[in-house]
Amino acid sequence: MRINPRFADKLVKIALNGQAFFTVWILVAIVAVICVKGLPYVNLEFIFSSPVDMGRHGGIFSTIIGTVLLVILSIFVATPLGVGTAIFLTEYTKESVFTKIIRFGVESLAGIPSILYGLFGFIFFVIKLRMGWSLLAGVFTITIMILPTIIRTSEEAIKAVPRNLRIVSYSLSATKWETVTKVVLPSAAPGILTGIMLSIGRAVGETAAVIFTMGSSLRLPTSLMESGRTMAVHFYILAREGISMQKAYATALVLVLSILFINIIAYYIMNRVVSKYS
Amino acid sequence: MNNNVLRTDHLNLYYGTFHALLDVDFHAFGKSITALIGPSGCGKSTLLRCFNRMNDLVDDVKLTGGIFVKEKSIEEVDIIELRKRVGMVFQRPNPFPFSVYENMVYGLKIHGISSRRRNEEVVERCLKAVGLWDDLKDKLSLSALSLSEEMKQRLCIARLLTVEPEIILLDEPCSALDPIATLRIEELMIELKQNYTILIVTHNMQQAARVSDFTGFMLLGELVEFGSTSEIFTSPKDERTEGYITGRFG
Repeated sequence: MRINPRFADKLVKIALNGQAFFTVWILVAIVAVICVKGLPYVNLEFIFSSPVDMGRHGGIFSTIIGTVLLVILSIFVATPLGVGTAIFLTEYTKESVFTKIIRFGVESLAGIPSILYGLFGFIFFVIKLRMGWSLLAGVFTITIMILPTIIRTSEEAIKAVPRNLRIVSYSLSATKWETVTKVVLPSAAPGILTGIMLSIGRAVGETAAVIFTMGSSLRLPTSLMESGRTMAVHFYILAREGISMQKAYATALVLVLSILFINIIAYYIMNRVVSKYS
Repeated sequence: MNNNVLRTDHLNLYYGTFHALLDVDFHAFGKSITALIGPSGCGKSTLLRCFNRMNDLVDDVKLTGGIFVKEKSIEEVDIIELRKRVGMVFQRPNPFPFSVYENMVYGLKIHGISSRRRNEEVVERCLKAVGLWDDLKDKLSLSALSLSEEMKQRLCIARLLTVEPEIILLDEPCSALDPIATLRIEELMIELKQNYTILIVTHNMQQAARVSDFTGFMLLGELVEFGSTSEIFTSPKDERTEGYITGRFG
């Protein structure tokens, strides 16, 4: 039996609409559940006071600071490393077995489950290098974890910069490094920024790799060698150990809102950069 | 007078195993326009690119023979210095995806001679030289990509002038432009030859006839004939030249 093509067309349209709607519906449902369950417990006091009695009472201030410190420091370490690697791969070498190996390594690194990063960080940074459960060990572990994302996105962004712009730059007697820093990187900035934003998202939401390396101390970390707790870890522990589901949902809400906030800022910065260069 | 500003001596160039330039003896005089004509793939762009070593950017290029700028072998000149003295304008207008002003100060910035006041002065002088100043003086922060194709190409020429080259290489600079814009760029070239030595590669024989003082005809990597433009177009000595300019092939 042959289906009438016009009917098939309509059918497909309905099906595709449904699929798109389903995706959005899931997102809305998740946010709605978190809002409904968490909103009654989120207020300024919750955000600005420290947890009391394992988080059963009080707020989440120290975990917000822990999250911010971990994410910002990781990005600061990972971005120069990742963008540098991408520049090396695209501008300073020719395609060879060597670059293929690097690329294969990067891709494999991206596919490793985060708990393995945690385990590696625990064995190497925490124990071998005697850092203990500390912010520093967490930063290095998260750095390794987000590096592949930053390298891949930066590489794609740099590759997308037209070759003739480089040639013009050379013809104006620029050196390679001047060409990279003054033409290639500014033109690739939006793409590189996207990679950084994706990485921030991953770092903010990470639990497994963080528990193993940064620990889960509820005190406010005041040095790089101290343990601390991120919001995601706090949420996990509150829920997993049944300490307080109310506080757990409230934490989750703050977490979701801060990710939303980061994305909005990222879009803002990206638009600024894009409008400056196009 | 008539000293050789650009010269090649038994120049051979190979792309891998492809012999792109065959024993070329070429020269161009100062403060004049020299045109290179010939069918596609005859090696005229390759010859042009020898003078600022743009062929270095292509893999697997081999050279024999000599290339001289102002009678000095380019082997002896630092490549950055060479490209500062021998500037180039490309086939497609290729401004950077930045503002007009940023495009104009790029060369100044990389040569570390940029101060705000000097920059503004150079930008104004160079934009005036290409006839863009009146159109753009209030729009310097506009993205260069939003300009018309002709204005983009003028901007690229102006951007080149900021690094104060002595010699300007033009690689089919009008092939992306409409006939009216082409005429205006040609007028600009004639103005510029007062101060610069210009070497232009063109597909357009009328253009060579209109703007150039000297013309070289190339075929299959060989410089077949070279002479004053009027000579080449009215009484060519080689029958291949005659065949090309009368439209029998090419």
